[in-house]
Amino acid sequence: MSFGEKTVLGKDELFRILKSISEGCEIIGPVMEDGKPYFRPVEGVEDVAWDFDTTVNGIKEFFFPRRSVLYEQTNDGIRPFDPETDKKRIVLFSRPCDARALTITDRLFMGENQDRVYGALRANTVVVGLSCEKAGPHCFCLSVGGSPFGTEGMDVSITAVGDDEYVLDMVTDRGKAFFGNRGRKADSKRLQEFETLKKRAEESVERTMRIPKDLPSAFESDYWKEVSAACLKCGVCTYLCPTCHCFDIVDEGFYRVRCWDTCSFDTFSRMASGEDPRKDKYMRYRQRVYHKFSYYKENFGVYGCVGCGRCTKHCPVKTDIVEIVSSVDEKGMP
Amino acid sequence: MIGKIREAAKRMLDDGTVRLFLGYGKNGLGDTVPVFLKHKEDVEALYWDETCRYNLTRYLTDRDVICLEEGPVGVIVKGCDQKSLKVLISEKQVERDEIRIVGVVCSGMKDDNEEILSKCGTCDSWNPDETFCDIVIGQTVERKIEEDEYSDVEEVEALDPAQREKLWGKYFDRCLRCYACRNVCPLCYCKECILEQNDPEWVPPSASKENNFYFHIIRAYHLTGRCTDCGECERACPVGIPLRTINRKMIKAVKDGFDFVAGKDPEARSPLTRFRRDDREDFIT
Amino acid sequence: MEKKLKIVGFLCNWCSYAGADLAGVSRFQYPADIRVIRVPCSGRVNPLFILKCFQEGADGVLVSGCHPGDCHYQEGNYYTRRRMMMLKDLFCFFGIDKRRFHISWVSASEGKKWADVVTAVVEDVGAALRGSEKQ
Repeated sequence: MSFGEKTVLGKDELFRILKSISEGCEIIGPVMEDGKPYFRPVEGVEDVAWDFDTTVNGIKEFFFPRRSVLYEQTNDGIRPFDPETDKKRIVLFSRPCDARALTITDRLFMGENQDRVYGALRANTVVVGLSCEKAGPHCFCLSVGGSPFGTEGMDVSITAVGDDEYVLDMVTDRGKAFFGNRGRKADSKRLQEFETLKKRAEESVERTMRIPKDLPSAFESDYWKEVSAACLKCGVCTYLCPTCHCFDIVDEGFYRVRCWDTCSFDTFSRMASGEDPRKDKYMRYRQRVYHKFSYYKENFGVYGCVGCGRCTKHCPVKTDIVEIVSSVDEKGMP
Repeated sequence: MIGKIREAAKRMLDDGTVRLFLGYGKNGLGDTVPVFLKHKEDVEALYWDETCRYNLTRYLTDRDVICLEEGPVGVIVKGCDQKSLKVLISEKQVERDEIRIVGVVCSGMKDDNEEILSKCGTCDSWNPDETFCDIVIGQTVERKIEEDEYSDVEEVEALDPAQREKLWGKYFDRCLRCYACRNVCPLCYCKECILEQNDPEWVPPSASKENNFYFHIIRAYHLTGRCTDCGECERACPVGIPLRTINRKMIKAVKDGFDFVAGKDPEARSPLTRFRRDDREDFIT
Repeated sequence: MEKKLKIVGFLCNWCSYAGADLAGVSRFQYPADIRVIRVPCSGRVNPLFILKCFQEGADGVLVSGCHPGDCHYQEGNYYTRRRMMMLKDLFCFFGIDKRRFHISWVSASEGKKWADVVTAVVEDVGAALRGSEKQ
């Protein structure tokens, strides 16, 4: 990414462009519902919020839906369900953490084994990102390799700079093909400003997570019992997490359906015999932490976390993963 | 107040009256969290302020952290939590002599935006019941109790069926089926919830609007005549479904139909496990 | 011809089922939109059964048992009465038309009443569906 590729646009012009390029596409963007921001399919670009805090849900559910039909049993046998691939979709104003999460789940769903549903939804969707001017109180993206101005996972990145102007950055060729050449080339003053804002945004990330070098040694520690005592075993943290991707496959009448599932539920790892290798709450909580910060790193080279802080923010009993992971070295080693 | 709570906890843990003490503490972010104390030296971790919203009685039936058979447990309860505890005792989930109850006078809890919780406005039990608790901490608060108008319920009842379906459809479309509402509820203590049964599968586990609709009917129905309106479900819900309105609808129906209010008497049986020969019949075809 | 409805009837073995039988023997005419499931007592009807019926696409549900005081098991239908009262209230609150869910008491000797009840229920369910189609 070189500076030369950045262009500058006024808000009205940007709005018009977004409107014209999203013509005929399914649009997904942040909207306010009952006072909270959510990502939702919207009718048009005018419904999208331009200024919003971390949304309740990420954009995960538009690539890995809460419920997707895989097969249908018909009189003529089994008919696979293919997602509509010819329909173009555009995700507007994804935050850098949510967009980056896609690159993390891509490694699983589009790596060695290709997932039909995820792959198709990923292929027909353009992700337009919006940089964070200021981090929220629960954000810790810098600790896990992200940034409030990050562009990973986006096709186009938009950043608000002063005077109702926006800096556009074509991150991928797909983004470029979609947007075309728009706006005027950013001059050095704007680029300077961009860098200042970036620095300011990065400085506004108050939380840091210290990820222990040797997490596996803490596996048998009683620390996990202690920190998970208050956990309610609900799925808030995992269902709102932009990188959690566990699922269950169930039959609903004549349909075979894939739906979300989570390691915090007590039936998650229970087998048909009734035996459960993770039968206690602490084992399931530990699994969540290890999957993100040990196994995923081992398997795919990245942490399964983007530091959006949703799990802490929305946890009904305020279990704080940042504090828990950061204190492993100090309190969790046997 | 916090001094007295710590002192009570310390005394109980010291003389072995309890082997575990449940209270409120703080995490590194300054948020209130439930804490489980085993040693008298730890009582400094206890806190008390108007963010102690959690209903700690929920943990009494959580066998992952507490096995009541192993010895008595101390627990801090507010007036509203005490109601749930009474229901738990009446349903034989908790024996009264297995727990030591530290009642704390509450003058209303606040949400993250520093606003008093809506449940606290019409709360009739700021002062815990002295005959029920082992200790009551705090000065008795005198206040005029606002009559509960059930205006939220009536607002929905004023709509016609199609509008109601649309209203709830909007909320249930958001539902992720994370089960936070169920898991945070002190009265949802079933070892295996029917939602997890798959033979027969009463409600499919996938989160579609229709499936969620049936899930919420089941949840509300299972709490009929038992819910004490502690409001934990609504607080826990990450997507803001007005679950209290649903619960309060059933509280109102039980009050109107059977003249019963849950959580008043630890001896009382739920109205759906009893009957009167002259129950109303106006709904019979 | 009007489309046939799918109405599930949960009938207690001792009264309503016998009543329905009597209606048949006596050749009382009533609409054939109801599918009967025989249960030992109306108290056996788990509210989940009713929910499942609606979930699987039933247009209406009828639960029918002995008159209060006549229960073969002394008091089963008293519990049913309370449960169904609450369930009907809850359904209404969620926007399921109250005309789609009925509870009735029909004894073994009331063949005529059974025919009348079914006729009324079918009419009600039909009206509820027509109402929602209009919306």
